[in-house]
Amino acid sequence: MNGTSGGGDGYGDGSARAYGGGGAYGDGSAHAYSSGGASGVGGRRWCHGRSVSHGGVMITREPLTLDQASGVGGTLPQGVGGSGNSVNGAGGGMARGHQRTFSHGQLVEGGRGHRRAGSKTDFILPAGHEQREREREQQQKKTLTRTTSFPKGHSRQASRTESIYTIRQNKRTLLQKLMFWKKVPDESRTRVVVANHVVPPHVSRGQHPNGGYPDNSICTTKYTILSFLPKNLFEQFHRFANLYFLFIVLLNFVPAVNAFGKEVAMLPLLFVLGITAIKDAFEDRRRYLSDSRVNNATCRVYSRDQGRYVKTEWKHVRVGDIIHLSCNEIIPADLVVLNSSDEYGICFIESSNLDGESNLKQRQSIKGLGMDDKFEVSKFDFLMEIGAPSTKIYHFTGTIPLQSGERVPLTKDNLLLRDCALRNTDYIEGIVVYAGRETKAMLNNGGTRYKRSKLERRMNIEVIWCVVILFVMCLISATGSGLWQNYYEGNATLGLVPFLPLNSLDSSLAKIKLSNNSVWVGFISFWTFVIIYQVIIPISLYVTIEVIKLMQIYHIHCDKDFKDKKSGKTIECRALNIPEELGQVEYVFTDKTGTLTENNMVFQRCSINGTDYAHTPVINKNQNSGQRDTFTLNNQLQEELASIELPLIYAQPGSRQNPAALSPPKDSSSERIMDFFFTLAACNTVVVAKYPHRDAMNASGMIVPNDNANNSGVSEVDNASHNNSTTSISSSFWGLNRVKRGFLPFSRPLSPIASSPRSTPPRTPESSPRYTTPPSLSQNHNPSSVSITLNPINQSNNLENIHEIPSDIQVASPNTSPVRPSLLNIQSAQIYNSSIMRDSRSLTPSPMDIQPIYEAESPDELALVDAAYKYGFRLLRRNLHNILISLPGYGLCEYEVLHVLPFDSNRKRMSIIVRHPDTQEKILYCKGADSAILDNLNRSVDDKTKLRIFRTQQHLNNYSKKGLRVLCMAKRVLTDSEYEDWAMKHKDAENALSNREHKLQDSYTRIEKNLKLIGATGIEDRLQDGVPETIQALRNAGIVVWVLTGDKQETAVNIAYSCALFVPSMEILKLNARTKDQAEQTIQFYLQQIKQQEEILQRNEMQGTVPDPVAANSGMIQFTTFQENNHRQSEPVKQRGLVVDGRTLVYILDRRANLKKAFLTLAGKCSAVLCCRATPLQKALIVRSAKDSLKVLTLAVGDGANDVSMIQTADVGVGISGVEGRQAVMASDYAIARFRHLEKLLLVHGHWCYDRLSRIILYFFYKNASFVLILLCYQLYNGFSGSSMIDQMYLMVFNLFFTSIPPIFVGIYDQDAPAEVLLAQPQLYAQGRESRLYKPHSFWVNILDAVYQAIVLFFFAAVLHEDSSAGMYQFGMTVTHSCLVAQSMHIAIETKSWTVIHVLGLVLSFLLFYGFGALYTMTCAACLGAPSQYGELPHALSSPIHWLTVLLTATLAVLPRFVVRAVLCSLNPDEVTQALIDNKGTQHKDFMVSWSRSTSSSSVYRRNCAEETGDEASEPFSSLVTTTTVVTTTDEAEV
Amino acid sequence: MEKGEPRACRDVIKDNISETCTCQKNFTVYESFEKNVYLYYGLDNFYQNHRRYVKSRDDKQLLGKDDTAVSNDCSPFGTDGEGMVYAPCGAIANSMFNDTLKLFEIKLGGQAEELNLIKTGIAWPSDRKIKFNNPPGSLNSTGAFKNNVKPPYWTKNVYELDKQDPSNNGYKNEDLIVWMRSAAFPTFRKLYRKIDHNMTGFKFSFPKGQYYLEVEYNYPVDSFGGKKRMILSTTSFLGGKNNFLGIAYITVGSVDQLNINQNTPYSD
Repeated sequence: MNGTSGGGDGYGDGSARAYGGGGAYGDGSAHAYSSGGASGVGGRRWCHGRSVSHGGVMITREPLTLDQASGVGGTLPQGVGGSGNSVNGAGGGMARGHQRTFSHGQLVEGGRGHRRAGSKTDFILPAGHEQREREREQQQKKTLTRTTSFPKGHSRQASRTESIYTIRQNKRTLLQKLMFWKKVPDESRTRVVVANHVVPPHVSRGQHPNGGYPDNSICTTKYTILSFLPKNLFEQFHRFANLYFLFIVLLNFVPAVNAFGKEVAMLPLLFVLGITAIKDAFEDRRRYLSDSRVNNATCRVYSRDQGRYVKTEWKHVRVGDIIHLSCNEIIPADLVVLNSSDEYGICFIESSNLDGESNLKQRQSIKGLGMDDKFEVSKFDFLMEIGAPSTKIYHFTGTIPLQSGERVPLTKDNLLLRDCALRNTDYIEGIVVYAGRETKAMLNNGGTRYKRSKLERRMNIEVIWCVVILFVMCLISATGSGLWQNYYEGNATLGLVPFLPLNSLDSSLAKIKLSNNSVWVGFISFWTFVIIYQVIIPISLYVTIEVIKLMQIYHIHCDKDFKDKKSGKTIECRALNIPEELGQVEYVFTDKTGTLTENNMVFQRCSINGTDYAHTPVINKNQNSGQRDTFTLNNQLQEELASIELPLIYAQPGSRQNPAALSPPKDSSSERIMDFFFTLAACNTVVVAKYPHRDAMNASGMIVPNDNANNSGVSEVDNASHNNSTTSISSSFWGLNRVKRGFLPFSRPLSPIASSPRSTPPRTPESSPRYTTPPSLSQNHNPSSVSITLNPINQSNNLENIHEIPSDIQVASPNTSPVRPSLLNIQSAQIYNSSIMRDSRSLTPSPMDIQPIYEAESPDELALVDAAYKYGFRLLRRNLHNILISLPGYGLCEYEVLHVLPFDSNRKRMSIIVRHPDTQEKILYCKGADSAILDNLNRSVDDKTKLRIFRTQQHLNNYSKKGLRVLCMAKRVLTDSEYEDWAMKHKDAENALSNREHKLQDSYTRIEKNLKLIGATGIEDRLQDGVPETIQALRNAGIVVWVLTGDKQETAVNIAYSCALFVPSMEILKLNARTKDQAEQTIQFYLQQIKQQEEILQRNEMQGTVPDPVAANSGMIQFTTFQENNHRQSEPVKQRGLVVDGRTLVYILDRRANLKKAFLTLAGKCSAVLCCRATPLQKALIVRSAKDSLKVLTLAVGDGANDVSMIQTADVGVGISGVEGRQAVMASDYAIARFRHLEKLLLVHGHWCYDRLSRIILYFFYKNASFVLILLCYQLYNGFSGSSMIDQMYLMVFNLFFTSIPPIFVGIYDQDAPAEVLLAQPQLYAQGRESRLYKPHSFWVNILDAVYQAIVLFFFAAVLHEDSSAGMYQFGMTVTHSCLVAQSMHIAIETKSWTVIHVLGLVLSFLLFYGFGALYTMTCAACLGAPSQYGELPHALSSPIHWLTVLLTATLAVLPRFVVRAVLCSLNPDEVTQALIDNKGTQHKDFMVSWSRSTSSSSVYRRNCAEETGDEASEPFSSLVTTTTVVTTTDEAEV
Repeated sequence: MEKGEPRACRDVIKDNISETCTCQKNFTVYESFEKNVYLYYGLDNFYQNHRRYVKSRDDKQLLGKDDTAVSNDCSPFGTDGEGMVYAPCGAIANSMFNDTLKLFEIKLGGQAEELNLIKTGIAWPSDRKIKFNNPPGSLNSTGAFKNNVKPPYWTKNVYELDKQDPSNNGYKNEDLIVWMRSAAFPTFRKLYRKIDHNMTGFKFSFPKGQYYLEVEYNYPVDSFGGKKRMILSTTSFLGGKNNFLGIAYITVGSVDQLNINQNTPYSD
């Protein structure tokens, strides 16, 4: 371990190294890194991204080594890992085939003796994170001082999740500091766990060795019924606003200050607290229900009494229980694996529930207990010493002491984590070590993040301004109060002023003096005014906004347009508080694969021998079935295949003695075709499951003995074949570790897997071939589909029947184009499809239902394997050492796998070295990116080969232009000496202690050269429906769209064109730098160029001429970059597109390079940016850079785990609930089914939500301010005494009830323009994007309006009531009423669309006013401790002057706003209004206007200026809205 | 009242608050008022809407419910030194307007005839019926108000406000009720009496002519710079407060002269 010296450096460039470390895993890598980091040269060298979507394979030789290399784990005996490793035997570095460890890049630090292997989101941690983390660790160390033996550096293999949780836990650590009495989990302390079945029954819990540990029930609820009130209140008072209002309530208890009755003053606070409490209780109930759902889930626990596994609820699982789990089951608690169905005790878990990583992680059962051969639950009586629970997901230590004194170590590789799913393993048995809240999943269970929207931040600033205004108002009033008091001071002290009652008759003169001292009075009244004016801080605003947002979200949720008919998925709004952010998005970052495209790879083209074979994709219309798209076979290729194999195989049926029989003539085209398909089938990391994983346990919980568990798959094959075939092959024939060449006589089905029961062949050799049209033909309705299931034909009949076949086929399927019959056992598309689908596993497979199930991480590989399968090259089994493949016309064939050279993004290829079963030749098959293969071809070839290569290259270019993902296949036959030589060196490299990664890479490169090209493939990833339109719309809306993809540049560029990200008129700038300086130069060059262009443009604009195309174009060639479009000058304002590749991003995102700013400036000049070969880390870093540096509101869309960090980084994260699992969805704020839904989500709902909310927030400020300002005005008339003519009850409820309903309805339902208009004119989105509705001055405009309105409302009323006998409250009632009318008219002006709901809101608020008034002023003669309001309202309403005042003042108050709106509307309408006017023009023609939306049944839009322009009459109204018209016109008639 | 002396009543009561001072002021109504003429008293600069003043009352007490304890709001006019509760308590009640206004018509012959003024029906019916109620028992010091004392500034007890009419006595006294309804502005008027139109000559209107006002001057306004006024007004569609045909301003107090203006002021 390195010392601390390197630590700072290591952190400094964390981001670059984080993803640079993508491949670093395994022993020695730490050393490699530390040295690399120290030298600073090596570090750079490894800075290569690794894209997840390409299905790389990591060799994980010793899963334990990471721990071994680190502190804690290092203390464990080295031999531990060996148990897992020994299986590999001579293979050494042989991969376990389908295992991939850290998919998202890692961060390995050498510094501080502390290593983190890490995480794709590490870098998205806040800037101070490392510091905090360090502090946290120091803190931990402090707590651990007594454990001196604890190594200084300990390993932390942080996953993405852990780093995220680390953020979450910062809070917890703070809390922990406070709760010092709470036990801090002490990692050094160990605990003992024994299997429960060895403990005698009826042992009390206290004496039970496992009794002290919690059970497995979880409780994520925040509250219990008892703790709800105190805890909820405690939490609510964390909010500043609530504390403020609490302060005011308390202030009211000060006798000198009190302005209101104490009970009344509490009302608003209680209301808000109550609403929030109800909301919280509701949410907590949901948590409770989900908890109980989880707690009541069942799993099988070993029961001592019954001697078998018994179904038990999760909540009753206890530490020490032994649990049996089947494949795909969710792990109920943290288990240590004791036994697995796998021979080597291996099992796989998928931890996407935990950390979002969808790859399979390998776990291993404990070895060395003497139970390795046969595990018996009842005999497991060992004591386990394990570490205390911790949050570290990948950290676990423990030992099992044996009687012999040995200790069997337990590591994280033995631990299965709760909430993960068991995958790819038939079953496991494990003992619970941590249960319930002590499981790592629960310890890491953080709350959801709270995002605060831009608008809300703005709002918070205004709230602070409100506080300032409040302060100023209080100050003014207090000063006035003091001055006024000063006038009466002498007399008041003597008690001569009747309206200034002395405070107390019997108190001393000094006290009386003080109570009438002007300064004192001023001081006291300041606080009184704080109480009285409190309303200006809109207490109800927050709760109202929350309600509005909730309802907005609900209506977004209800929008039927978001339902994807194919998958049945609809929008899922996970974040409840940022709907308006959708309306303000400036930058959209989108993933490509799966987001823009279907992520449904379809094999479309292949090029073999320089011949291009096209395949027509068959698009699966019925997506509900979850089936993939497929393709039809190429006839020509089929024929060629058939022509090869017939002579090959049937010439010498018994040719097993003759190796040449299988190997066609060297370098023949047929050999290449064979090789091509073999590569497709074999050179990958696809996991084959012959049949759905089946548990060996029967329903009653007994393990059915399975002698050959490991070979069960194969034996099933055999058993099945026994049923069909007379040929008897002993099951041991398929023994796993034997290298045997399988050969089946053709008289039996090629493989039972391939045949469905329907096509079970007749056993009579003489029977003429039957051609059946499979159901797929009729289902797919694809005439060109050759989906004919040919029965395996008796060999003897084959040749004879060949000539008869064509006519038969034509008869059988007239739509089919004539094909030569082949003897390929081609499966029907349907069978094929179902065999491919992972999801189509049935739980209880019949013995015949044994179609292979391919599980691949990358859909590309799946597509290739599928393709090979369709052509008859069927991958049937793959394990560490062997590949079992069924070759067409030949039968089963088992190849020994010598090496797998895994994929990495540096080499961009993967290889597999196999030994040919017959020839014993060692052949390397290589598959990879075109550049990676073509550069390594054997150059010394004849012209014919050169031509072939040339033509293949042409095809490749062609494919790329079509947007296909291209891969090249190559092979190399190794001579024995070559191989031995290399293998030896490779072994050295594998065992190298330092620079291992580097050496391995070199080793790979050494063997992957002199390749022979065998072909190329083009895989289509179809664009989703509506993607180009959506991108076009987003761009028209002024949103900058960035596509971040892991694909290669050419493919990405072509996809970019096809999805309208780039348009032909665009100037494409490319950044493909290979050094930092180059990157800088290129960026600077582009910037300069753009500057020149802009200058020219400006000059030309001034001169009014067309720009000169040549001037800006000079000096381009000297750079490696190039411009694709030279006719860019055709438009005066041209758009630019930027293409950056991953390599260049490394330099750009490197903090030391200081290129970020220049890059972002450049990117800012471009309307579309495409980043290729970007890693998940880079994706997120780009988003972060844009967010931070450009200060823009970002939205990230993605569908896979590799997008999670990006989604979490962006302001708005959108997940596509596609095929790649739920990780992106879980991390997102909104999950949509298809990319095209984004258009409506942003342009319509986002627009609406922003529009509504910004108007409502402003309205709220206006509303409260105007109400309070009226009170301020009144102080002029009551000696600034803090008296209010409005009864305190009204004062409190006015804002809460009377005037909050219409704005809430407007906030939920109002539409400034109908969806159609917004969709048709995306540029209207600019309103939200540029925050036009809520600008910094908007608040002040509204406050000014409030001031004006308050003055009008008050002083007009005051003049009308001056020198009258009007009582104070009577006057107050008038003012309140007129205020209500004015504010209702105000919201009516603000309302842009009238629906019944809007009218209802207004009516309701008036009804409330009158209703409440009637109730309050007519029943309560003396209550609430306030001056009685008895009879005030009826008296006021019965007075004509009241009505006169109300109507006059209210109308005058809203008049300016109305006039300004009307004038603006007619003279200078904003974009939206203009669009509506235009739209209305068109609507007049067809007259029928009726649009429905999800939010309300029907609505008719009505512009405010409609009345103004006088064309109201011509506007069609639905019957519902007619009432509305009446209401508004009456309101406006008052003007 | 010592006639001929130049001393104004305000100076008289300034020296001795308990001294009775009566003054009178002639005025001419130049145009007859339409029927239903009301007599108001007006106060200027009297902050009946001051926060501390407004709340210095106990509505429960005025409901006649509890006579032994009163709300703290009444303080310092809640209880006297012996713990006796003021009836009614609070600063509002304590500072009740207690001038007595009388109107005299100067007949052609020069002799004056007092106008009949109706003192009931001047408060809101709802106040009279519900809001103000006497405690149970007879309206005297041993009955309903046995635990109470008169407020410090009062010269008579609450049950002595209208000895002739028991329904207008005690808390139900309409002058008290009117006073207890705090005015909205520091310059306000309160309904004092209704002109009895059953009088001869007043059947249909308040005839034009010479009148004089006799004031029993008790209420000091000097200490806060206030003014007292008498207003004659008629009602109209708008409720008789603002849109009146004529107003007689009588300014008493600081400017010790009777100033009668007949005007037809602002109408909206």
